[in-house]
Amino acid sequence: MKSSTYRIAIALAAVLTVGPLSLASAHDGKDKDKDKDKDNKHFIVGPAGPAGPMGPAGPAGPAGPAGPAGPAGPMGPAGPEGPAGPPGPAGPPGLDAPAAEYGVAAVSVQRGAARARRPSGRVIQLASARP
Amino acid sequence: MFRFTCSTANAPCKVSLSGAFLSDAAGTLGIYPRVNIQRQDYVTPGFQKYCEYGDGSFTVTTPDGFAPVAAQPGSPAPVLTAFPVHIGGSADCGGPNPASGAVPEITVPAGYYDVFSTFVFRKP
Repeated sequence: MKSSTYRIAIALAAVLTVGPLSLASAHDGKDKDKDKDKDNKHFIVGPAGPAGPMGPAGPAGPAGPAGPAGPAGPMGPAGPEGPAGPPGPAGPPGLDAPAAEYGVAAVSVQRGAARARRPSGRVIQLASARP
Repeated sequence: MFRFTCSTANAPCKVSLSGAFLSDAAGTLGIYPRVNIQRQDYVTPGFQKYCEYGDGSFTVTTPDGFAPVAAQPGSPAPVLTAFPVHIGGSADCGGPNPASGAVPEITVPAGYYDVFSTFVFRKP
């Protein structure tokens, strides 16, 4: 940078120095072409200056479009348990109590015509219950 | 089973069957008897042998052999109803009574006797 700035300063100084001379020459109207030749011989235009510095960065672009919609949420929890069912019907009536029933059998022996017959053996069995 | 003695002085002796139905309700009970009698001689006791067998109380009104007995209230000394027993075509114990078939009693001469019996009770 120092070098470029130095060259620019030199060029400006040369221009400022040449300017008044060219104006004086036009006013007097003498040997115009001769002066031109004289000028071309003694002043050489310097090279073009360097390119200016890069401009600042442009503004940020607009925000991108919105993303796609998210997936559906999970299934909700199961509902609460239902209430208990109604009570069952009453049972059938019970059976009648069995009657107290007994069957009795006996084997009797009569000894002699004059003596009374009496049981000598007896069998007792509980009869079947009444249906 | 029981054993009894029929002495010469008491002979002949008679074996009979009877039964009762004890209940707190009305009704009848059928009784099917089986009886088997074995005899030992009274004068010369020795081995014991078959004498008589009878089963069923077969009559015209009880062809199935079940003797009907009416109900009566429970009691330690019930009133027994006699019923016959069928001894077949002959009296085999040598008693003086030759009656056979459905007999109200089995007549036996003097001797020692073992009586085996079973009964089946049936409600109609």
